[in-house]
Amino acid sequence: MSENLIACRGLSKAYGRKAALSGVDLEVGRGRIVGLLGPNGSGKTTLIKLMCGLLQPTTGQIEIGGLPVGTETKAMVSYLPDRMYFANWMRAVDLFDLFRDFYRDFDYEKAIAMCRSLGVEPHDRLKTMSKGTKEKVQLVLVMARKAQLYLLDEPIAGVDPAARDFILHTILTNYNEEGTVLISTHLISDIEKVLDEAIFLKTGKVMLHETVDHIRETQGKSVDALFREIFRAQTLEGGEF
Amino acid sequence: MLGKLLKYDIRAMWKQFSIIWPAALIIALINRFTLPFNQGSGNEVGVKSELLAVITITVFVGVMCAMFVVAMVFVLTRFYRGLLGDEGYLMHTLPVQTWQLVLSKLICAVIVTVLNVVVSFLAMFLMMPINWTALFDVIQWQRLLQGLMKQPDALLYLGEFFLLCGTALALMVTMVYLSMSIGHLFHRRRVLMSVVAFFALDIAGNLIISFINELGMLRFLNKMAEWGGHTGFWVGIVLLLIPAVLMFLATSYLLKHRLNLE
Repeated sequence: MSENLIACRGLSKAYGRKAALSGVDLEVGRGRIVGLLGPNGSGKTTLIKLMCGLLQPTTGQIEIGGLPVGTETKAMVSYLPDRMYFANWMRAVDLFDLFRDFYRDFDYEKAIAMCRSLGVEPHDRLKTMSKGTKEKVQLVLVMARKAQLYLLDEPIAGVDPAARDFILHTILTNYNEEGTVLISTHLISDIEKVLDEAIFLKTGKVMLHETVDHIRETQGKSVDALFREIFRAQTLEGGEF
Repeated sequence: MLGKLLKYDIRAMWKQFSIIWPAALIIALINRFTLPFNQGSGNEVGVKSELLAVITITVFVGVMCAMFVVAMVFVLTRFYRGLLGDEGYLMHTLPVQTWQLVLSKLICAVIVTVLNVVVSFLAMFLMMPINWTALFDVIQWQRLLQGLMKQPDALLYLGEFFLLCGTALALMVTMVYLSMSIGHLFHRRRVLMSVVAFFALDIAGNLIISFINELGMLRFLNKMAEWGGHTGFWVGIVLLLIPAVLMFLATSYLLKHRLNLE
């Protein structure tokens, strides 16, 4: 078993002429909760999509569990995208059936129990559900797996503060503790308390990758405060005000 | 895994066609009673009956056209939305090989088209004024069976004909899939580029056929076909299968190595 769960070497991705990621070198171990932090357009979603195989790198390499992204790594990764990915005619239980068919680590009973606790009726058609309820279904699909790596792309964006706590609670009480959770967000204060490590992305480059404890000890401030300091500086440098 | 993928693709297909197929059959059956099949030339058909017949046949033609339009849209969208759109976020993160994703869509597209043709024939059959006594005449069926036994090749020819049609259909679908995959390589105007790719592939295909013709290959193949009827069918099947397989492989390659769901 590879020591690092995620390993990126010289990873770059460009959309046409626009670089989304530039020379990212990154190593993340197992059993960690990691925040992938950066403002909009910093490359968080691009990095996660590269780990899922939804995008192909322009240059560089990426490995999950010591393997290049492929069928084997997809079986290890549980991915929560930033959009709805299912057909509206389906019911939540249809999706649970699909996940049970394809992922050995999917726990069907746990998914049903999670639905009940989140107030979702699993036999309802998705088209009759509100946006928030659909997001809950998608969260259930992801967290009912005992995956090696959870890639959660903006799971708390666009919801009110009470719902954020609810979502974070669901993640923390259901993830596989031997696996790693990578959460991308720009809402740092909401997730700081649960993070072991923080990765700061700025214009497609890794600016900082440290444990949260180390940041607090060496910088003498919270991750949120450091983030605001760095990215406020970026705004001022950009001369937008 | 291919079987599991097919299960979900066929379920999506049934969801799409579970109303229109039975509707086509029911409307055909209604037409059986409203169309004036049994009216002699001397009989006058009532205005109301005539109007009803016009309405029911118009509805029937409308449903049949809708059925084929829906099938065409289904084939396109199951691939485009399912593998290159938002649903692709689910399908491409499943632990399955890319060629299995494409093959599942291809098989489903062929099944939909074949079932559409079967439903169309069945609907026309239901619409006709059938003499049920003659249809279930055992002696007639025995004669037909005896005739077929004397010509066992007939069934084989029929099978080869269906296989040829199926291969031609697979070629058309793989060409559409490859066009959409090529269009997806572009950063902008992907739909437009898919259409351009389709016409480019069509032109390239015609150029290759002209080139082969110049080499005298077609004359050679025609000669082969003259050796026996079966050979003709099999030559046709192989000739259609080669580009279909190449386009299938090219589509799978592009989706595996050049996928960019932005």
